[in-house]
Amino acid sequence: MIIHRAGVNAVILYFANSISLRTHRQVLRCYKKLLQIKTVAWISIIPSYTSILIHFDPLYLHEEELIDRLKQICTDSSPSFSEPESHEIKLIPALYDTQVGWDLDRISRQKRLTKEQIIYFHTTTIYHVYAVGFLPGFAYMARVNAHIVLPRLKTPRPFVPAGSIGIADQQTAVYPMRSAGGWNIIGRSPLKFFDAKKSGKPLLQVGMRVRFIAISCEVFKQLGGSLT
Amino acid sequence: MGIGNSGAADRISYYLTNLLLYNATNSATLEIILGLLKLKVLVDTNIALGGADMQVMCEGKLLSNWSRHRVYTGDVLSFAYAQEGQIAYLAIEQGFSCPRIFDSVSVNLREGLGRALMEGDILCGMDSLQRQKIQGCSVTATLRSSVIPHFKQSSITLRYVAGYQEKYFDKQAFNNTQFVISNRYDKMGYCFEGAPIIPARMHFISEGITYGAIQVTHTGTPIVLLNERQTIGGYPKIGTVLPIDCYRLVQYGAGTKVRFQELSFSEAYDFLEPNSLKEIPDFLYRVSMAY
Repeated sequence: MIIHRAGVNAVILYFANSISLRTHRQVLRCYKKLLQIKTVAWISIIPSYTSILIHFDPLYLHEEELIDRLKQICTDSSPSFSEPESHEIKLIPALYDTQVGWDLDRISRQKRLTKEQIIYFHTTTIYHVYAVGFLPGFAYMARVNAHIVLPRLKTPRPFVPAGSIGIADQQTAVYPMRSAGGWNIIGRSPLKFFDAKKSGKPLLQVGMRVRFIAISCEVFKQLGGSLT
Repeated sequence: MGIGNSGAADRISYYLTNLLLYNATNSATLEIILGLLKLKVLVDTNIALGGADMQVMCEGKLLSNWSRHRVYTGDVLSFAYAQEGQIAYLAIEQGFSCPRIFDSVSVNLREGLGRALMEGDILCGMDSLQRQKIQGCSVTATLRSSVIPHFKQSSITLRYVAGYQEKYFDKQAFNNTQFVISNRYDKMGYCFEGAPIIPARMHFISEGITYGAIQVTHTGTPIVLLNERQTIGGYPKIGTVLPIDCYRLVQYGAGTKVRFQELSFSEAYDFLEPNSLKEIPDFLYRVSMAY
């Protein structure tokens, strides 16, 4: 693990240079330990694929002291902290249709795949949530089947509707709210991924395992989905 | 969870405005961007004005900026277009009473958390507002001039500390370039125009982004990321602008000339602004020192 300064009141921890599930487990283990430390000095702790960014308040904690503690925490692999991994898989109903999957036709042409094949590749993978960011509740999931790996759009769309399911490079994600977006849109989920009014946690969180289930337009509507 | 920091863009003006009323330094105030606002007073109270100068008129009288004033039921406050700076703060005694989202009263428009005010909205103070008058607060008072920040320079310098990705940049060229604030700026970030700064490596694994991070896009445009930034991203970063300079940056708009000045970490620590302010005299000292 390497610790770098990321400004006058922030440090970033790197666990590796490349993305792997093993590295991410290390990230999560350390992240959980950091959350267990109740201190006013934390401003924010942001885990991602290979790193954790920590914003701290220097009024309460000196940088040197923080770095010493981080070294202790992250090298300590005592079993008391390592929780058993959850085997639960979060199922996300998804409507894959050209009406809501704006890029399905293009991907079909580009990749010489039928719509059914694209759906098959997207729904037969179990994804791991590596990071949540960009928008509240926007979960970066990997890895997408190699057959449907595509770059982001050259020009992002000014808006994509809430619930839109996108793919970009080896990642997939659902837009939790209407937003600008540069990912290839292949479908839409009727679920609510983030509800500010409830002040609760987003549906998808770092470390979760996720699978998409194809549903019909009828079921999509029954579950409260909107086609507009 | 992916929720941005949000909050007051110019935290120094925000703090000072609250201080004028002896409010807690995190009390909810109105953040007024560019001005042209009319408010009607529904209850006698004390207010404080700070930040950008919007020539606030109350019943034919000009209310001085960086001051507290007594206002009465029925008074109409009208804010002109910002003369100096872009963002003003209006505080009331004990702060506004606001709905909390994730234990915060901040609004983040990009994330759909809270909303901007609309015509006809009614804002409430805290319950005790009418009954409990804070002593000494009913006198009009203005901050002493040496404490007041000014926003009328035609060019500003943003001090930064180099980051862990600095090796991918020609930092010398960056430090020597004069940039101009482009017309793409908001509370999420500020884009700058100037000679493009092309990093040696473009794709990085997405990671957390700090307040003030200087990110460079594919086209070589530097962007300084602010309160309403996304929490993670994958563009390379040259370094991080000091918080105290970010607060000043938001008071400037398109066309302002900007230079970046690199500081060592030990130099930067002298300008550090603590997040939670317990020591007000020390804070004021720091504020006056930084301008």
